Amino acid sequence: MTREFGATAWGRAWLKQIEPVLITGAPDRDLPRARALARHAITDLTITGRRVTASITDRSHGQTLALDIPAWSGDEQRTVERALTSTGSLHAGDLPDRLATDLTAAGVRIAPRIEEIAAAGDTGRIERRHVLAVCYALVQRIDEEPVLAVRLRTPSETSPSTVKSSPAGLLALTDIDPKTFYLVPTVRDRRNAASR
Amino acid sequence: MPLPVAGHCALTPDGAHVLTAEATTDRLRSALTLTDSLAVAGLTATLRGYQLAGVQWLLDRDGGAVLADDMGLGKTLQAIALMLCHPKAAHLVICPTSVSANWAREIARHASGLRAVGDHDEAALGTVTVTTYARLRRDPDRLTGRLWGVVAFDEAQQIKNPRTLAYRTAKTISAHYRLAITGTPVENQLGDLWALGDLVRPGLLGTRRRFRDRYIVPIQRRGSPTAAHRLAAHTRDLVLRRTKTEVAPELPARHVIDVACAITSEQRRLYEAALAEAFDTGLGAGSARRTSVLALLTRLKQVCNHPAQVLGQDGPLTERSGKFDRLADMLDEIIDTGAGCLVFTQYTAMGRLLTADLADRHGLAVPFLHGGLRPANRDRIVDEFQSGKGPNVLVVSLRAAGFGLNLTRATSVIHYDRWWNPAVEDQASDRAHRIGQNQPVTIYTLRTAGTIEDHIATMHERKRGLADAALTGGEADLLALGDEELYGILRLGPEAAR
Repeated sequence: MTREFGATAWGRAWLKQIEPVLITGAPDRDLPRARALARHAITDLTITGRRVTASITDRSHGQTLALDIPAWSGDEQRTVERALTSTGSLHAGDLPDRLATDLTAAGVRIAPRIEEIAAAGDTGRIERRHVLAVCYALVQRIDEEPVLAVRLRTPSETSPSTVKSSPAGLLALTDIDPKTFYLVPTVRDRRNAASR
Repeated sequence: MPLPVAGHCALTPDGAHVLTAEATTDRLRSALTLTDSLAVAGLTATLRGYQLAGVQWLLDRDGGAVLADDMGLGKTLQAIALMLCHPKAAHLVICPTSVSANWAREIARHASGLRAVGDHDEAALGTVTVTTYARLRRDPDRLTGRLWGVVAFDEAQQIKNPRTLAYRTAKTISAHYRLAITGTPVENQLGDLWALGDLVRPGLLGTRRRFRDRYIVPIQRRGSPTAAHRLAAHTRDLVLRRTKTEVAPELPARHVIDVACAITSEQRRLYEAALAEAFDTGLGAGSARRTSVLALLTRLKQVCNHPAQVLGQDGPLTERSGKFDRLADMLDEIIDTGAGCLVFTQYTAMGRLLTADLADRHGLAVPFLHGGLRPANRDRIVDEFQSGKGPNVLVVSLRAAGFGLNLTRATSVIHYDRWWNPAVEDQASDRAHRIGQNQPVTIYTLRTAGTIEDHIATMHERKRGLADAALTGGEADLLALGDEELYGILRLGPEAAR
């Protein structure tokens, strides 16, 4: 049976920060509400570097939230890089669950504590349950693509380039200039295209 | 010679790119080279553009792929071409019994560089061993004990369950290239997609459990667009699927495909018994002879259709008739794709068996359009089919089809049994292929190889092209023959050999 949140070890590492195993005090009433919001009220969840943005509609009130995920410390980052080199090739954004376990054992905190995440909203004050809802949605996204768990914590200078480039042999439609559509390219055009 | 963008602006499948000028000319060159090398290797057919592109695509995949083109686009031919590109090897085809005869025939027809052999023959360089899933289950060692060039799993959706013996055995067959062939759009059944993917490219899609967690559950339970998008990108390297609509400009407006089906042992027994009984008791002379020959022809045709038809039974229906099983596979694909299809039969009893089977296996109330219906019912059935409100398959009695029916929603026409006069079949096919039809129509004629249906097919070939007025009933030709000649025509041919 696949879990709704935390199907992979990477998602579960994040889930543990949202739902601590050891509960002291009264049950956290924000959690069930946050899960319901994650299921139905979140749209446009996008991840750029370590920033997660999402639109959330709660009781007909819409808000866009931006969460900045703190990067790993230098030590953690080095441990992760070493482990990744020995993992070898990966397919379609997956990472083995075993790696998550090993990293945790080596002292790497895969997910930050929720309080460490800086949250900003475009309207009014930020509700804790909204931040938690975005984190739940993020857990599902990480389950789908575990490599995100690494990208979300990697300092931006070492993060792989995100500049979009067309695969070899392909020309993106957005790069086609209608003005030159029917013109035979000159030598200079071709040289420029090659250097792009 | 540099090209303007207008000269190389064909869209790639992702809809967001075009090939660069260099890539376009490279592709053209490799297509020309491939055409030449296929001709040298012994391909006697001319591949259509999309078929050539398909073979090139398959060759570019590393060790395996799923070919999932729509029915009628020539998947078998592309697979044969792929085998020709792997010379110095023995190849293997595993398919349902109902299509094994068709494979042997297509190989003989299109590839002089290959030779189809049976289970018990020695596999050597340039041979294609054609065997069945039933044999794979019964006698796996013969198939798993050697290294093949290309192994093709035809109608691969039949072994999509990873827990079955057939699937597990299929996985242990070693080959340079593993090809799964299916006309069912596997991308809609994610579990099946994983099974077929893992069969041809082990590990490419990750473990089954991981695939379920990362794709099936997110896509099917919460409609995750990110997971669907990633899966599409991921499987673009695994599955090639072109629909009839996509390649319509390359298809002829009306395209006839002859489908040879294997006889089952029950059919063989009934067929031989009917022949023996008729000839042993004697056919008589004069009008009595006419009656007994016609009765014999009808009986043989019914045996070819289905033992249940000739025995007056309601079932069981599967694995008793090669044609019936083949049709069931074809209809499974058609029902999945939603394209309109007409199935013609000249026997009411057969029409009822066909609709009963569809109701049983798909829960579909497929109407049977026959001469005994009231005009109002008939019109309702036609309207529902044409408007898309009813099921996309319609079973039609050949005799009911002569009237002004307009069934242009159908882009496939299947003749389940053969009528003596090709003009009658053509008239039926024209219910779909007529004014108002803007898609190519594919017409399939099913026949049981090595039986009386071969004779009818040969006669059609001979008669087509003659003026309609010159056509006479084919039974008349047979009635004029003496016992020996008649027996020579009707007895089981080598294609129906055990």
